[in-house]
Amino acid sequence: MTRCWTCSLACIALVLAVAGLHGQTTGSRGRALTIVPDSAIATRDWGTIVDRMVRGNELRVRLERRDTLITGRSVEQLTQYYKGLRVWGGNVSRQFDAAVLVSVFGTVYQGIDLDVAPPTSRDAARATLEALGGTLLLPDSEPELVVLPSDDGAFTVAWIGEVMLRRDIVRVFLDATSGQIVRRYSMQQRQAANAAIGRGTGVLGDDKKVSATAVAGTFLASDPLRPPVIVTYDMKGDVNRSLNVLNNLTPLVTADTASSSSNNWTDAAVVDAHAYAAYTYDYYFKRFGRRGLDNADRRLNNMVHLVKRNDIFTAPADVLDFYLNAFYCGACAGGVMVYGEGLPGGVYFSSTGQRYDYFSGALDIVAHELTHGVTDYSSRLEYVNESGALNEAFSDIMGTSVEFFVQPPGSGPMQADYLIGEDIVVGVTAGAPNGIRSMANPALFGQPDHYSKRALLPPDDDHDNGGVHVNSGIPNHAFYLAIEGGTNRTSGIRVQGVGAANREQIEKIFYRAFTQLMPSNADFSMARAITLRAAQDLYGLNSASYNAVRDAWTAVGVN
Amino acid sequence: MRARCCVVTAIVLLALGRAGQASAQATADRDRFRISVNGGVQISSIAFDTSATRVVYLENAIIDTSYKISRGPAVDGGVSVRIAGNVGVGVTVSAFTAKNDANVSGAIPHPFFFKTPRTVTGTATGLRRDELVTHLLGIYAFRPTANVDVAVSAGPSFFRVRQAVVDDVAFSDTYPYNAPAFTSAASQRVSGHKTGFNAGADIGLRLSRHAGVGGSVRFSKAVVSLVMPNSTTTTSVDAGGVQLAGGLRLYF
Repeated sequence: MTRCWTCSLACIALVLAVAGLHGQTTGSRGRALTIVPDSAIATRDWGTIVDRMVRGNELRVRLERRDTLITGRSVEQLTQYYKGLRVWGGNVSRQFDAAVLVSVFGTVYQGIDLDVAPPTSRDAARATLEALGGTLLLPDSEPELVVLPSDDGAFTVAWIGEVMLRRDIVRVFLDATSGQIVRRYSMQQRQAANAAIGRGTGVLGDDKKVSATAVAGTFLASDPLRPPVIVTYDMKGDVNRSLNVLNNLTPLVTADTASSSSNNWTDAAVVDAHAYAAYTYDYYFKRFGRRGLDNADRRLNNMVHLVKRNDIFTAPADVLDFYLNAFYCGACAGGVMVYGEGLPGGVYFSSTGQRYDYFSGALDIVAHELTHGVTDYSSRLEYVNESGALNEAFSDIMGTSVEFFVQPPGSGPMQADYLIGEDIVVGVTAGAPNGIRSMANPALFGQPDHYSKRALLPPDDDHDNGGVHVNSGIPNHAFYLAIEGGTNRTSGIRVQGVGAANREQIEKIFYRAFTQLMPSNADFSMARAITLRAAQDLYGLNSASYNAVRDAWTAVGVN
Repeated sequence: MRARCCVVTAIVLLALGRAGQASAQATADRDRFRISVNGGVQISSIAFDTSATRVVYLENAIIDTSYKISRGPAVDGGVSVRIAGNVGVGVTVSAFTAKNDANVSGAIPHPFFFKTPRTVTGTATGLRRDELVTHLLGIYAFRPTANVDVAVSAGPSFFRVRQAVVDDVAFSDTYPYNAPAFTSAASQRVSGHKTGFNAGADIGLRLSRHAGVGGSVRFSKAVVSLVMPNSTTTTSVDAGGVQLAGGLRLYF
C-alpha cells in the first residue's frame, strides 16, 4: 500500500504508443498506471498525459460538473476507451480552478493489444445473462462490450451485464470469445402533489411529521415539499410482487404507494423510511449543496414490507434479505431503497443476542443506502475489493454524518454516535452489542482497524466481493479518528482530531474526495491521497483538518 | 382680484363681530342652550400588542403584532344646557379615525420537524382604528368678556373602539424552509366598548347673537378589551387621547 506514483512524459508516450495495435480478444498483457501525483510537477505532467489521451479519444469525459463547495472549481470524470470500447476500471478524475488543473487521480491501462471484434454476438450474450437470471433483460439493460483488465495484466474483451437474481443483483462479465463467465460480483449495495403534512409514529415510537400528498380523499406517502419526488411504497408483504418489481417485470404503481386515510400514519416502517430518506436528502443539500442522488433531483423510491414478518420461519432462504437487510438497487424499478422487515417480536439471534427491528427505523442505515445511490452517480466505486470497501465506508461515513446532522449526540435511541444500525439492531442478551459496525472500534464487530489486519478474500459474491463489508472498517476508523482523535489500537499512533465541533470540515473533505475526485477503481492508498487533496483544496495544506486526515490514515496503516 | 376678495370678507366679519358684541352684551344671560360642531385632530401615543395563533404544519403559528396609534382626524358635535347660574350639563359625541402600520413578527412551524419554529417579520399597513365616544359633561361656564364664553367640563365617556388587528400572515416558503419570507398580513376588525372619563375646556367667541366660533381641548381615556378573532384571548387597548378642535358655536 505504499504506492506513490509519479510519471514522466515517457510514461505517456508509452501509453500512447501501445494504443491502436491490433491483436487478439484475450491474452493481451499490459499494466495499470495508477495516477496519484505527489507534487505539483507530477500533477502537471499527468495533466499533460491526460490531455493527450483526451485528444486521442482514449479518455472521454463521462461527467463534468461545477464544484458546489469551492467557487470557480469544476471536476471532470473521464473513462478510458480502447478502439471504442470502455476499458473497465480505466478512470481518471481531474479538478480545475477555472482552466487551471488542480489535481488528477485515477488509473489508466497501458499495453492493451486486442482485436475488439467479438466472436459472440450481443444476442448470445443477452441469452446467457437471461438464462442466468431467469428473466428477460429490459431494453436499457443491453449487454455492453468492454475491455476487461485482470490482475495479472491480461486484457479480455467481454460482454458485461447486470442480472437480478431472486436474492441478489449481480454484475457479470462474459468472455466475448468463449461466452464463459470470467467475473461476477454482487451489485446489491446493502447494509449487511398536494402537500399535506401528516403526523406519524416511527419505529422507536417517536412522533414525526410526514410530508404527504392529498389525493382524492386519501393521503399518499409522496413528498411534494422537497425538490425530488420521494415516494415510499408499501409492498404489503407480497413477496412475489416485490420480486417482480425488483426484476423490472412489473412497474410500481400508485396503488403500491403507502397511504393513510386520515394522514395519521401508524405504519412505523413507512413513516421512518419516508422521513429518513427525506432527512438524508436535506443533509446532502444543506451540507454540500448536492441535489439528491444524481445531483439533479432524481426521484427517490423507498420500498418496505416486501415480506410479512411472521413468514420468516417458512420463507425461502433467497428472500432473507427482505427480512434482515437493506440495500440500494440502482437497476431495480428506476432505483429503489429496500428496507428489511426485521424479526418478529421476541425473536432474536442466539449467536449474537441481537433482535432486528424494521431496517428503515435507523437513520444511519437509510442514509447509508441512499449514499450508495450517490456513489453510483459520482465515483461509481467498483463494488469489489478495496474500492468496494471504500464504497461501503463512504456509505457508513455519510450515514453517521446524517445522524449527527439530525440527531443530538449521545448513546441512546435516536442519538448520534459512531455505531451503525444501533437503533434497530439491539442486543437483548447480556453483553450483546447494539448495531452491526462501529467506526470508533471496528474490532467490536470483527472488522479490522488497521491495514495490516485487512481481510484478503477472493473477490466474488461468496466472499463479500473481497470483504467489502469487512475492510470498510479501516477507512471508517480513519474518518472517526480525523474527527474525534484518539489512538489506533493496532498501531498505537495517536491522532489529534479536529473535534466534534468541526466535524463539518472532515465531512466535507470526505464528501469532496468521494464524490468529485475519486475514480471508480480507487484503493485505500489512493483514497488517502485524494482525501488529502480535498483537505488541501478546502482548508489548505497543513491545516488542522488536513493534518487530522493525514494522521488518521497513517494511524490505520494506509500510506 | 383675490386679495380684494379677502379684504372684503375680513371687513364683513369684523362688522358682524362688532354688531354681535353689542347685542350679545344685552342678551347673553338669557342663553340656555349651546350647540357646538368641531373638527380637529386627536393626538395620542397609544401602543399595544396582539398575539394570534393559527395552525400551520400541525402546530400553532404565533403571530405577534405591535401597534402604535399616534394621531388622526376627529370630529365632534354636542349640545349643552345651562341648569342654573354657571352650571350646566351636556353631551358630546366624538369620532376619531386613524390608519397606522404595525410591526409583525411570526413564529412559523417547520414543515418537516416539530418544535422548530422559524421567524418571519414584516409590516402590516393601513390598519384602521375608529373610536366613537359619547362624552357626558358637567359644565361650569363663565364669560370673561362680553363676547367670549369659556366652559370647563368633565364627566364619563362611553367608548366604542373598532380596531383592525392582524390575525394571519402570508409568507412564501421554499425548500429547504429555513426562513420563510413575509408577503403580507391579514387583518380583521374587532370592537370593544368601555366607560372612561373626559375633561376639557372650550372657548367661544361670539360673532353674533346666536353664532360664534370656538375651540376646545379635551382629554379622554379608557382601557378597552378587544377579543382577538376566532379566539377567546383578549387584548387591553388604550383609547382616547387629547383632542384639539375648532368649529361653530350656536347659542339659544
